[in-house]
Amino acid sequence: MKKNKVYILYFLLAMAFLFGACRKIIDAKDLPEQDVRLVLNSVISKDSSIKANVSLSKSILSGKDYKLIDNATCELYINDQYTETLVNFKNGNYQSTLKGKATPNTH
Amino acid sequence: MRLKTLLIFLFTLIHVISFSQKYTISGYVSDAKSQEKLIGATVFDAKSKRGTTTNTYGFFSLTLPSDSVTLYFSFIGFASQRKVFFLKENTSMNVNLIVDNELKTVEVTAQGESIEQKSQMSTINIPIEQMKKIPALLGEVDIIKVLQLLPGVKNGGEGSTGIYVRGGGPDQNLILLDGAPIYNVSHLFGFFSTFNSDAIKSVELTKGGFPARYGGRLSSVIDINMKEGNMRRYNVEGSVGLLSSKVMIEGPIFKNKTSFIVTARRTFIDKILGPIISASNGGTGSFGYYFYDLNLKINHKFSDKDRVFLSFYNGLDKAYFSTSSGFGADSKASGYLKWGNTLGSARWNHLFNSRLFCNTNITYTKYQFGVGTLFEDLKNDTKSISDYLSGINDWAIKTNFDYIPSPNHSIKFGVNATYHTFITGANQYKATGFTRDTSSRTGNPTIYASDFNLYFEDDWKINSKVRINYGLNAAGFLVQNNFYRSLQPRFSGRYLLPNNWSFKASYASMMQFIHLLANSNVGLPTDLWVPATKNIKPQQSFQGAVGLAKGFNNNMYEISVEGYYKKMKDIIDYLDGANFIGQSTDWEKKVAQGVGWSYGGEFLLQKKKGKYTGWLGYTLAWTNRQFAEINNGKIYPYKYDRRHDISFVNIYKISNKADFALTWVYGTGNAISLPVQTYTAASVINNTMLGAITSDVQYYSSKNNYRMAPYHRLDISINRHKKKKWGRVTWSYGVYNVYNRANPYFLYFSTNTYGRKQLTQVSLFRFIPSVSYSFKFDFRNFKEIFKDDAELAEFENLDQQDK
Repeated sequence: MKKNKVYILYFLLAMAFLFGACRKIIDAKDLPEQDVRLVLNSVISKDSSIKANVSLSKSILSGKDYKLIDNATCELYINDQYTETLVNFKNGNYQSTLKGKATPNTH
Repeated sequence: MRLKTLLIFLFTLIHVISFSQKYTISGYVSDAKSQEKLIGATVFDAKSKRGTTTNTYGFFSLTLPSDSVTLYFSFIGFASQRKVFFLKENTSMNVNLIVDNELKTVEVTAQGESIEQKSQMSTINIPIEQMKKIPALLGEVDIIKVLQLLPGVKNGGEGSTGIYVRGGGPDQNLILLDGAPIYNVSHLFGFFSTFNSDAIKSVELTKGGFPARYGGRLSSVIDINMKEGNMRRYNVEGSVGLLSSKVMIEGPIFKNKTSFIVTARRTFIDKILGPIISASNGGTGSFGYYFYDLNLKINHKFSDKDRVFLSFYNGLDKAYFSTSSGFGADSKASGYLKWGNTLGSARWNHLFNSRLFCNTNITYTKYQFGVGTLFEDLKNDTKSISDYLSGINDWAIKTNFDYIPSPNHSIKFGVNATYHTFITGANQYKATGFTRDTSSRTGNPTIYASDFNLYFEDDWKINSKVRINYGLNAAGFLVQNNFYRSLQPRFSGRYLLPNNWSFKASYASMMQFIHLLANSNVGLPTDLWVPATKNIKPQQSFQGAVGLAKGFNNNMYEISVEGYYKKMKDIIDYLDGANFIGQSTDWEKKVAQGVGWSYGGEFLLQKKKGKYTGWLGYTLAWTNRQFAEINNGKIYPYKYDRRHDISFVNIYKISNKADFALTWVYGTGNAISLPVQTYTAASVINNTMLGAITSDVQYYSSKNNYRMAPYHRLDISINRHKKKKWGRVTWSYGVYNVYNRANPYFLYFSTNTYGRKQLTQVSLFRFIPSVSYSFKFDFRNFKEIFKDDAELAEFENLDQQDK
C-alpha cells in the first residue's frame, strides 16, 4: 500500500507542477507563542541506574540548540514515596544510585 | 316542519356549494423553443390573487372558484404570458413561454411569486445561463464553484470542489443528479466538478429549513436536474477549452413525443503531455492522465398524463504509467489510479387527476476508486497483479406524490428505500504463470445496509399573511443487525410585513446514516464512505433560522438576511495523528465522535433580470467542534471556520454580441494546526540514554491554532458571440486571480541555506489566463418539423427576435 501512497504524492506533485505552484516565506509573527517548558526524559531499565535528562523546549522557528538544564532538582519517587535526589552529570543528565528491577509479570 | 327546515338548510348548503363551485386548472409550463419543462414557473390569477408554482417536472395545479380568471404565467428570463377565460370546468392547459430578449419591449406584468411570498427560506436557485457567464478557472464552467459563491457556502481551499455549508462537512451535502445521489463530485483531484454545465437545466441549493421530502444529509441539498432534450429541433453545441473539450447533441426522436440529449466531455492533457513525457525518458515509459464524463437523457411523453425520463451519467478520472526501465530486459511494470461515478435513473410521471401528480423513480449510483499495479515478465510469461478497491453503490426506489387539494394547500408525500453496498477497502492479489498461481483478497469486509424513508409535508397558506410548510420525515437504517431510526420534524414559514417584507423562520432536524473518512488535508478520491455501524452512531443536526426577505421592482431585485444556529451531534473526526490515505483498516478505532456548532448571519442582494445581473453575498459565521478524545476534550475551531466571507458577482450584457463578468471573493483564512515548539526526545541505545539530543518532537499548543492569511481573488471574463450562417460562435477569454494574489494553499516549516527555520506558504493558482471556443449549430429545417402553421409562425417570429 506504501506504493499507492507514493503514486498519490506523485500525482499531487505533478498537479502542483502543472499549475505552477509558488512558494513564499511568510512572517510567522502571529504564530501562537508559548512559554518554554521544562522537558524531562527518563529511562529505567533492568540492572542499570535510572537516568534522566532535563532540557527546555524551544520555539519551532529557533535554530539554536536545546538548552540543557544542569541545576535542576531531580527527585525520585517510588510509589509516591520520596527515595532520592538524582545526581547531575552535565549536559542535562542525571542519574540515580538505584538500579532498575524486573517485576514479575502480573497477568 | 322539521323536514321543511332541513330542506331549506340543504338548499342553502347546495347554494353555498354551487356558489363556490371550484374547478382545477392544471398542466405543464415549457420553454416554447425547446419544450424543456420549466421548474418553479409561477402561475398566478390576478383576480383572486391566488397562485402556485410548477414542480420539478414543470407541472402545476391551481383550483379556483368558477369565475372569469386572468392567469399570468411567468418565469425568470421569459416573457410572461396572460390567459383570460371563464373557468367553468376542470381545465388542462400546457403553456409555452418565450425567451425574453432584452431588446424586445415586453409588457412586464410578472406578478411572479416573489421571495417574500414563499414559505421556504435558505434556498437559492441560480439560472444555468447565468452560471455559464461567471468567470471560471481555465475557462471550465463549474456549477459547484458557482454555488461556493453563495453566502453560507464555503469552498475547501484553492480550486477545491469541496462544499462546506453552514459549518458542515463535505460529506453532509446531498447532491442529487436527476434524483440519484452522487457520492464524489471531483475531477482532477477535486479541482473540477463532475458536472458538465451543457447537460444541466437547473440547480437548487437548500442550506436550511429543509422540506420533509429531503433527508439523509445534515447540511445541504443540491438538487441538479439534467436537460430533457429539445422536443422540436436538433441542436449541436460544443466547445474547445484549455482543460477539456465537450459536445452536446439534443433533439426529437419523435417530434413532440420523445427527445434525447447526449453530452460528452473529455480532457486532452494526456494527448498533449504524453508524447513529451515519453520522449523525455527515451521511450521506455509513459505517464498520462485523463478524465471524461458522459450524460444521456431520454424523455418520452406517452400522453399528458404519463411521461418517462431515463437518465444516465458516467464519469471517470484515470492516471496511468508504464515503464520497462529498471526491471531487466523483458520485464515491464504498469499501474493506474482511477475513480469515477456511474448513475442511472428511470422516472415515471403519472397524473392521476388534475390534483394528484405522482413520480416514481428507480435509481442506481456507484462510486468506485481503484489503484493497482501489474508486473509482467515477458520471458517467463508471469504476471503479478495487485489492486486496491473502495467505493459505494446504491439501488433505490422512490415514489413521491404531489397533491393539491385547494389553492391553500400543496401536499407532498412519499416513500423511498435504498440498498447500500459499502466496499470499505479491499486488496486483491493475483499471480499467474508461476509454478503455483496464487490469488487472494484481503482488507475490510464489504458492508450492506438498507435505508427507509417516509415523509409528508404540506405547504399551507393560512391567510394572506401567514404561510407555512410543515412536515415530518421518518427514517430508518438497518446495518449489521442494528436498526437506527429517527423522526425528523420540519417547519418553515413566513409572515408578511408591510412594504413587501416578510419575516421567515424555520426549523429542521436531520439524521445522516453515512460518514466520509477523508484525509483531513486534501480532498482526494481515496475518501471513503462508511455507514453508521454498531460502534459508530449516525450523525444528527438541529438547525433553526430566522430571516427577512423582500423582492422589489417586479422581482428584479431580491434581498434576504438570515441568522441561523445549527448543532451537530455524533459527527466524526480523526483521532490526533490518524490519517486515511490509501486504505483504512479498523477505521472505527481511528475516529472519534463529537459535537459541532455553527451560527452566524448571511446577507444576499441579488439582481435577477436586466442587462446587469449578479449578487453580493456576505456571511458572518462561527463554527466549532468538540470531541472528548481530540484536543484534550477542549472546543476548537473547525478548519473552515470562516468569520467573514464575501462574494461579489457581476455580469453585464454589453450587447447581443458580448458580455462581461467580474467576480471578487474574500474569506477569512482557514484554521490549521501548526506546531509551536519542539522538544527533545530520549534517545536510547543499548539501554543507555544518550545525553546528546538527536530528535525533535513537535508540540502543538492546540488543534487548529493558526489562521492562514485571508483568501481573496478577482476573476474576469468576457464572452464574444458571433452569428454564423450555420449557427453561433462564442469566444471566451478569462483571467483567474487577476491581481496575482498569493493565496495560501498549505504551510510548512523549512530551513533556509543559513540554517534558519522559516514558515513557508505554498500558493497554487496565480494569474491564470484562459481561452475557449464554443459553437452552436442551428438546424432550421422548420417546415419539416413543424406542420402546424401557427406554430411555424410563432417560431419564425422567435427567429426574427434572435436576429
